[in-house]
Amino acid sequence: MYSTILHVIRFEFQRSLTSGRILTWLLLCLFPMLLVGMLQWQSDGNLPEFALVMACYTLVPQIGCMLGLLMWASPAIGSEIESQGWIYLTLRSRGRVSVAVGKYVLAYLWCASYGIVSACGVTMLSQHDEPVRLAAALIALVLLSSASYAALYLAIGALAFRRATVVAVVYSLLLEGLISWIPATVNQLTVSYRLRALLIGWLTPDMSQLPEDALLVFGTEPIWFNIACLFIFTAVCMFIALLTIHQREYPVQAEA
Amino acid sequence: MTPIIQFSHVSRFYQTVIGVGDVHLDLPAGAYGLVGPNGSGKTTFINLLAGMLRPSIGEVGVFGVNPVKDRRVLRRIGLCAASDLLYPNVSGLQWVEYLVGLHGFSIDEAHDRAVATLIGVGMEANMRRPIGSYSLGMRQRTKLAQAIAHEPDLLILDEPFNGLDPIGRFELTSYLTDWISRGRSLILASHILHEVEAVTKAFLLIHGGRILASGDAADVRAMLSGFPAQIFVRGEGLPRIAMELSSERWFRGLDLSADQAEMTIRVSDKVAFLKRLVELANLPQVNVFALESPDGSLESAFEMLLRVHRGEHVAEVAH
Repeated sequence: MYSTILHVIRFEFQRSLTSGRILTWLLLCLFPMLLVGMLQWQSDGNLPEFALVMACYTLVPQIGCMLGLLMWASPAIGSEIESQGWIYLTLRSRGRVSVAVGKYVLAYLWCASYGIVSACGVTMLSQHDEPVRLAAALIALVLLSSASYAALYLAIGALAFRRATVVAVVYSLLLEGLISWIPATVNQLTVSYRLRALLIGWLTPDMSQLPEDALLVFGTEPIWFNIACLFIFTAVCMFIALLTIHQREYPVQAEA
Repeated sequence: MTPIIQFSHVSRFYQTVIGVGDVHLDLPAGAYGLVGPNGSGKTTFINLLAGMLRPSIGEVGVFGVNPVKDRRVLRRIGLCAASDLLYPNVSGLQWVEYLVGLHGFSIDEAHDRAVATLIGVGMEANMRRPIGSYSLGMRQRTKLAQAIAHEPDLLILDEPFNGLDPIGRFELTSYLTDWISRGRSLILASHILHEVEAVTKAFLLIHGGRILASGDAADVRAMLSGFPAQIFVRGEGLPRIAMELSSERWFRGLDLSADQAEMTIRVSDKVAFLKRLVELANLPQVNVFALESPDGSLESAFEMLLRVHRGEHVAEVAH
């Protein structure tokens, strides 16, 4: 199984080395740095710590990772069906699962790579008092965010392969964008909530300026619990994705 | 001989449309042409065989195993699908190497097999170019290479001659003949009968999702011996001949062209017809220029089976 997954990663990596993808990688890498740089320039370097940390978090592990994975993970199955390559992959005894896992790993690597570079870049531009601590926290969040969102979008891609990216965008806006900010039990089921909780746990920025109720949307659970939640979320999404891909009859070609 | 392919009353429905209907057959190892017009169910048959579709009713077995439940059997199958390849920026070598690798071969072994097979199908000069720059014929060869590189026991080809030039067709026919001579099994799906006949004499005729007949051309002809033969006649005074023949007991029907210069006549006794035609040809203002009977070819047998399937022969016999 490992060797077939390696074949997928190798092939997909070769396939992904196009000017368009490399340019996308660069853009996703640079746009958080540009925005953080502009914020600092606008405020003459006096941005409150909490706002600065939140800006770095929102631009890199949150929006940056989501955007990249929407492009790399959600169309994993749909693109194969569209390019008529699915029929050949399913004719390999471990083809379906290997392709899904291989594409997941590659999406993760692409996303984590620009996320790490971007995290280092925004840390330098932020002029934070503890740059190493900030960079380490952002990188850890990038790694966790990439793993969770890649699994989520792969599952969406497996279930709704025809409109995978659209469904993933709607899901992200609705659940990760809106519901995760609602101070109720439901927001604890989102990845954003767990990532924010980890951010607070690792960096403990000064939140005294915020109303007390705001803590409800940042989470106060222990770090290990939030990490465990993200692992469970990732495992459940991967299970759903792999089971669907293994069992489902996807359209392979037109009737001849 | 143990069958390599078993269909036990298999039906596959697409909502209200029948993909294949109540197919029941046991095929021993060998080469078979799967012949039928477009939309007849060939691809559904192949997809069921390859475990890509589950039967709605019945059970499919390949080498004694259900390909949906135990996908390890897919290692013994090679499929060259009818659909086109749409990986524009990947070379043929990278693609074949990848698909061979997915069968569980190491990177080096997958590479060696891919190179050897692509050379074998005549892609030596072009295998490192992107697939997007390939002609249709090159893409067909590349698809064939991925199907055979892992040395399967059963090769399934869906419309493999599409897009091939005459040389390519000849080379593919020779390759497949050689494949069969090495004792390997083959399912060749096509709607072009003479291409199938050039590779194998055993075939399955499929139409409307049903297997109409199986065996070789002689088997089908024997099966159809009781049905009317078709004879094409070109000449002058054909309405007179038609009128004379219509009272014969072996006459089953005819189609006369608008200009009355050609007719296709259906008879149950060919010898009696020919004797009578010789007599009629001596009548004044009657001339027979050409007489053709397509019987004996797979095409005519297929046409006949379709007519039987549609129930046309019943009307003719009643006439």
